[in-house]
Parts: sequence; C-alpha cells; structure tokens
Amino acid sequence: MAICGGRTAIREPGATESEQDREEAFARLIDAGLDRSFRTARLILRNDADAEDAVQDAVVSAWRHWRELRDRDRFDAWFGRILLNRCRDRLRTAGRTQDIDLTPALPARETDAVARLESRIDIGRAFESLNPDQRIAVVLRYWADLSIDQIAERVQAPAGTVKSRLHHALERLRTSLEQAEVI
Amino acid sequence: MNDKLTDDRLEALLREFLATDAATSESSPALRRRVMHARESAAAAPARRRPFVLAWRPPRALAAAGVAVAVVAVGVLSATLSGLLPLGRADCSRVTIEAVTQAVTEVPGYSWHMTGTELIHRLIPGGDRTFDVAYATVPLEFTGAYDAPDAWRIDILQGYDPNSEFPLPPSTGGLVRNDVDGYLVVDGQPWVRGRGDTHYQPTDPEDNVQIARQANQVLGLMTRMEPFGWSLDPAPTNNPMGISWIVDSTRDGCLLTAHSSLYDENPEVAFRVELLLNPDTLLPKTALYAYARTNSDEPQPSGAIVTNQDKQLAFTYDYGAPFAIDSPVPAGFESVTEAQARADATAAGLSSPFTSATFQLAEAQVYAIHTPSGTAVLLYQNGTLASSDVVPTNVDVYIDLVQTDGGDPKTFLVAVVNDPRVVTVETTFGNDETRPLGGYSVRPSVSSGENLGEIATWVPLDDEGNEVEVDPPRP
Repeated sequence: MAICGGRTAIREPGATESEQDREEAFARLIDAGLDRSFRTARLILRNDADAEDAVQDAVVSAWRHWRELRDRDRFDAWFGRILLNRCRDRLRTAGRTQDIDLTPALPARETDAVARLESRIDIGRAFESLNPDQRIAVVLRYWADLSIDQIAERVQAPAGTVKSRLHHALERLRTSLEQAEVI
Repeated sequence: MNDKLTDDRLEALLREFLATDAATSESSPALRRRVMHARESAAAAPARRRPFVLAWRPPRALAAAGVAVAVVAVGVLSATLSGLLPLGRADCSRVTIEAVTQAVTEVPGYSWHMTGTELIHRLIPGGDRTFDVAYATVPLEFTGAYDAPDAWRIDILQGYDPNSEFPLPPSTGGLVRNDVDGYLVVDGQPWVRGRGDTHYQPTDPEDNVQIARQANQVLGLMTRMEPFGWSLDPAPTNNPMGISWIVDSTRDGCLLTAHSSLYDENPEVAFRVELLLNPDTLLPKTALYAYARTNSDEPQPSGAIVTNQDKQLAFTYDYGAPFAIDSPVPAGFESVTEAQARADATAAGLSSPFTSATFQLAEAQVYAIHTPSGTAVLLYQNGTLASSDVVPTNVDVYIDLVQTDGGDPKTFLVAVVNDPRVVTVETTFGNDETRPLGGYSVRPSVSSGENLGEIATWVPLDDEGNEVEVDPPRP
C-alpha cells in the first residue's frame, strides 16, 4: 500500500487476491477513515450513539458490497455515499425531535460564555430543524469543504439540486437564527 | 431582532459550529472494535434470505400524480426459522434459556460491551429506541450475533442499587430476545424488565441546559399522553438522579416508572410517573402516580412523544428520537377518515375489532387496519381508495416512507413480513441500501421531509371500534 497525495492508494483487486488480502484491504481503508466517518455522521445526526450505529451499519453494508467496488481508489467516495445513506435513513426513520425553547426557564446570565453557549445551542437547534438532505449538504459543504459538484457526486443528485438544498438550508437557518437573535 | 444575518456571517457561524462539534467528537476504540467485529460477523453470517415478493402494485392514479406508491408485500418462509426461534407471541413463553443459548452458540459470535441506548439498536434492528425503558446504563455485556439480535445473552456486570426507591430484583445472566411483537422477553417470560438511569452531575451551563431539555422532553412526553387519560400533577420530588426509568413486570401488569430531578442552581425540573401497563398489550392500564415540577410550575411543551400503540409503549427523551410525528396536513388534502378506512376493511371481509395506523404522504394516505382475521392495507389518493390488500393475521406489517433519488419521500414501502427480526427488504428506490426491519407490528416511521406533511397516528380501538380510554390518573 502506498500513500500518495494524502489518499490511500490501494491496488486494484486482482483475481489472485486472497480472501485474507481482501479483508485486510477493507479493514485498512475503514480504519484509515473511521475518525472522519464518525465525525461526519456525528455532525449530521447530532448524536454519538446514532453516529456510531450509522458507521457500523455502513461498514457492514460496505463489506457486503466490497467485491463490487472495482476501483479502490474511489473507496472514500463510495463509502461516503453509503454512510450518507445510512445517516439519511436514520434521520428519516428516527423522525424529528422538536426541541423546546428553555430560555424562559433559564435565569438570565450576562456573561460572554453563556452567550456563546446559547448561540451554539440556537445554531444546533436550527441545524436540527433541517431535513436530512439539507443537513447532509450543509455538513459536506461547510465542514468537509466539498464543492457543489463533489457533493452532487457524493449524494448522487444533480448539482442544481444540491444548490437548492443548500439555499433552502441557509435560508431556514438564517430565519431561525435571526428569530433567536443570533447575529 | 436587531439586524439581518449576512451570508458571510451565517457561513462563518456554520463553519465554526461544525468545526467545533467535529473537534469535540472522535471515534472511540470501542467503535473501532465494533465495526470490525460487525464486519467479521457479516462475513461469517450466512447469505441473507431474499424476500419473497407477494405483490407489487403501483396504483396508476398515484403514479400519475407523481407519487409512486409501492406496495411490497414481503413474506419470508417462516418454516426454516420456527424451529430455531418460535414466532408469535403465543410462543414466547416456550423460549427457554437453553433454546436461546443454543441459538446464540450456533450463530457466529459477536460480542461487545455497551450500555443503554446502544443496546436497543442491536436488539431491535432498524428500530428506534422503543425499549430504552427496558435497559440500564449499568455495565452490561451482551453476547450475540450481529445478524441475530433476537438471541442475545445479557449479563449484568454491575448490580442494581438496592437503595433505590424502585430496586429491581437481582437479575444476572438473564436472556433477552426480541419478540416478534416487538417487546422483550427475559428468561423466557413474556415480560419486560429493566431499568435505565441517566446520571448527571451538572457542572456548567451547557449541562444544565441539556438536562433541562431532556427533562422537559420527558415532561412533554407525559403531556402527550393526555389523550390517553394522563395528566401531570405538579409536585416536588427529591431524587438525586438525572432521568431514570424502570420497567418491571408484576402479576397485574408491567410497571413503568420514570422519574427525574435535577440538583443545581438552575433549572430544576423533576417528575415521576408510574404507569401500569397491560401485560398483554403494553397499553397503559392504570396511572399509579404522576407528578412533575418545573421552574415555571407548568409542564413545558416538548416534541418528545409517548406513543401508545397496540403492542408497545414508546418512551422517548432527548437521547432517543420519537418515532411518531404529528405534523400539519397539507393544504387541500382530502383526508380519508378512519371510519371510511374501517368500512373499506369491512368490505374487504374483515371484521372488528380494529386497530389501525394511518400514514400520509402528500396526497396519498395509507391505512393499515388490524383485525383478528387479517390486516388490511389500504392506499388512498385524495380520499379515493386506490389500492388495497389483505394479509393474514399471522404476519406483521411494516410501513415506511422511502426516498427516491435522494430527494423527498415519494414512495410508501409497505412490507408485510412474518419475521421482521431477520428479514431484509430490498427496497425499490435504486440505491445500495437494504433495510432491515424492526421487530414491530405496524409501526409508523415518518420522514421529516419539509415539503410534505406527514401524519403517523395510532388509534387504539376496542371491540366496538371505539377509541380506547384508559383509567384516569389516581387523585
């Protein structure tokens, strides 16, 4: 295995590859990207347990389809798609938790730390109001720094759709944050 | 509102928020072990059973409207399974420790240490944390196969607290399996027993907020039970715990106790509720005690939900996601009434009593009507019956919304399975996903697509088709 350009280069699966080699190659790739996979899932799902489960489910799914991946240099994008699908499914089936505004129940604290905390809570709450596709688009754009085209490839949707999701996500966030007076 | 949030400022806030969140989370060695073990288990597991497609019927009217409604009735031959793990509630009591132990040992092993909510995903594949109530965050060791979560061995590594207000009987080495009806069987008995505690030692404002949000969600959860005859009775409590819950079985039923109190300068939220559940239906039977207190002396609204389904009780707080959602009906939607659906079910040859679930997606609506003689799955578009199917009473029905092309939900997936524990339905929407089914009978699982209104409501009905009323809370 060679490392080039910051990516893990894996040779093409050959006909002579042993089962052990196959498993080891998979394990290496999964292991190398586990932290980032978890963080991605965690950002989208906003929950450690859900993120761990999504990653685990994605690993199992990826393993089952491992033979179908011919170009292992594309593992990151391929596994990323599976993971995003897992996250989307988990969000969809989990439904939506409507958080409540506790502000009236909290005593006023005029400190910067509390203000920052409240802002983070507001942003988190606004983020959680996004639908699964919007969440995924926002995380890929503003955390993973993927381009629109890269996001489109990752989520298997037209670039225009990705732009639309981002646009609507930002507008929704803007509305929520302005209402919360997070300026 | 003072100013407008500029694009640059919004992006900066987002980037900072996401970067901070990502920086504070990293995968644990435990996750690394989990995923590798899961992979190994998947490699060792036998090939999955392909679902047996009984029917495929996309109604023309719905397809023409751009709403592809897929009715996939999936059955799996149960004969091969029934010898290993008896199906159906009536068989639960026949599952012995030895049988489950044998089942476990025959499946490629997989084990890990986990607590609380993590377990639930494994016990109920693809499911929500419906049975969070049944588990403890005391260290537990669960041993079983990833692909056979219906046959786990559970070892309590650390005992319960005998000084607790609601101590559980000593229980070590109990065996847990996921019954086909979606509840848990311990030691071969059709009961639910367990306990969950969430301990917090608030040290900073964020903890307080988080705790308060959780507690308020639980309070909201209780308020959502009002249609079932519950109410909150504000009263103080002194229990130095975060949120805890106990489910135990008694001769008369299953007792669910949930309580919480928070000790810090702010905010203080406390509650306790005890519900006696009917052991057969897991419907709340009697309110033994319920009280709650918040700073404002008023129960806080919340999105958390208790859903009283015909066979299970969902208990959700901040760590868990609600699996039933109330949301507005789209404008112009011509809803089918339950009465009409029941009339159609009757016309299909089914008789009362009915229990039903309804699902709505845009202008389409699905009813699943359970009766002693079968389950009618009825699809409507704008009030017109577009498709119907009747499945035998010994199969479970699973309804979900599925997405197409990564977009908004456009399809109903109605899967009828007789062993949801092991069946994987190959969904029809063209991606690489497969969808393990949870161990539920009809279970609403609704997307949160913002452009669509969804409803997932459950209406428990008695023999006469009337909505079930439970006993009012004790004064």
